[in-house]
Amino acid sequence: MNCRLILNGRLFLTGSMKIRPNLFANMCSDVKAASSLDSESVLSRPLPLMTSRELYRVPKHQQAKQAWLETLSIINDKKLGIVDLHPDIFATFPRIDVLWWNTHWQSRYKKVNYEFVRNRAELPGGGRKPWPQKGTGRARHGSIRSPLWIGGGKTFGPRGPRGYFFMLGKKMRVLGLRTALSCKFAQDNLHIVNDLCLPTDEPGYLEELIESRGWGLSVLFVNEKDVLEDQYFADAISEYKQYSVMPVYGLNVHSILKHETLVLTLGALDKIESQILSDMHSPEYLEKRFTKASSW
Amino acid sequence: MIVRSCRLNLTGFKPVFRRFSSSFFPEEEKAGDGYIKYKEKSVSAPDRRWVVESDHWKEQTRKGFPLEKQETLHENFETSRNEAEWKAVQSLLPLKEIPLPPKHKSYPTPSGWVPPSSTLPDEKYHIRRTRFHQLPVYLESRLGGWHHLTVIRYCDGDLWALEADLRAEINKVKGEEPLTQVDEVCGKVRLKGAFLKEVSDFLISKGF
Repeated sequence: MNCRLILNGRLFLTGSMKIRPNLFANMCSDVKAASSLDSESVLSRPLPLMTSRELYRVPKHQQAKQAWLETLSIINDKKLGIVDLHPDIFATFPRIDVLWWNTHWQSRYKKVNYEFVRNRAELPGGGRKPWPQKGTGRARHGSIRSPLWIGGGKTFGPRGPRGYFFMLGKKMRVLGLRTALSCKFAQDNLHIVNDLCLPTDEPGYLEELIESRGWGLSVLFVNEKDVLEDQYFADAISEYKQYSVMPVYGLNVHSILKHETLVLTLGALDKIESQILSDMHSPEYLEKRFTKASSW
Repeated sequence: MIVRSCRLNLTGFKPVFRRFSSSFFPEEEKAGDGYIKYKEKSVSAPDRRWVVESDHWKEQTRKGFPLEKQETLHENFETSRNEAEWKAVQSLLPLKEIPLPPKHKSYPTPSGWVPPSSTLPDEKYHIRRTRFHQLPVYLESRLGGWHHLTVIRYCDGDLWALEADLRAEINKVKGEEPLTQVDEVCGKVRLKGAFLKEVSDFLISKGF
């Protein structure tokens, strides 16, 4: 969708939807041009930096969603442009059951239960019959470690380290990410920035920026790479527990739901979209690696 | 527990056993026929199944070859830069994404496939095609196959309008209204009874 931005805050939409097929490799030329700029020169360029974005295989009955392109370079909420978002990823129906399955899977697949209670055979002693079977007037017993006895063994107790690992289906995992991103976008808790760079090394700058923009108590930043190039941002974010940063490949449903606001960089948005779309349209809908156990 | 000599291991590779230190590992011995045999050695260990970490497929391919030829099995080959040959290889590789359907001369195609209409159908609801460009109409069976349900998935919009339309359509064709269920959370509509053909024809006539 082509649109024009006027800087006094009013937005005019012109033109019609243009969708080109088969654009996995070069999904968005505008994004690459904008993201190649560092944060210092972004503000000196004439705005808007970008107003459109090419999306891959948009369904006919849906339209591209739009979000502002923002920056961390100044505290004022200055908009750099408009980013088109894929409706399959940012405007799906909120499947709450899929969200539950994803968080359940994330909590379970790394859980190990170390509880262990000994049974009657593993306790010491108990081989001798405590008193004769007949003639004492007492109840008949064969072992002091019987489960009926105090200090006896446990029947059907927890046994040893037990793993809860299971693998959620790939479709469910992809749909969980789509649902979580859609919920964040629908609640106005998704923001897109050009990069994660701060102009100063003042420790309070990041908190002041987040408070002034109303991003809430906890913020999750998602970067394209797993190395932060800006030292100021790395120092600032290490001081606050409530602000987190993670690379694209670490994005998960639990973290998205745990933080109030999700902030994506342009490169991260590009990677997330292309990965989810390739998963949605891939014919490998069964992961044989996990469905088939090796028998030899 | 006694480790028997591995007579079936014709690969010449040491199988790796978990749960054992290297001192427990039986010593190798070359027999006269060229295959490796292991000495019998008594080991005290819990009687559990051993997990063998070896490449099964490699073993199977090397199985019939004598030991001297096994080492050079995957070494003597030529690399080819022929484009025609590479095209033949490419046709065997799995697809990375499902392609868009090609344009046919007439519809329905010999297999009975019909594309969705080029214009959007003017309805309150919308039904997507699956990733394989098929209609998302499925048959569910309950009670061990005695009860049949027709399920329409990937529904969007006003599902109750869709359900009313489906009931009217089945009533028109079959002369009886089916029991229905609308699952708004999962975007599904279920009809009691096997109406795959009727529902598919209805959806195609609507243009989905």
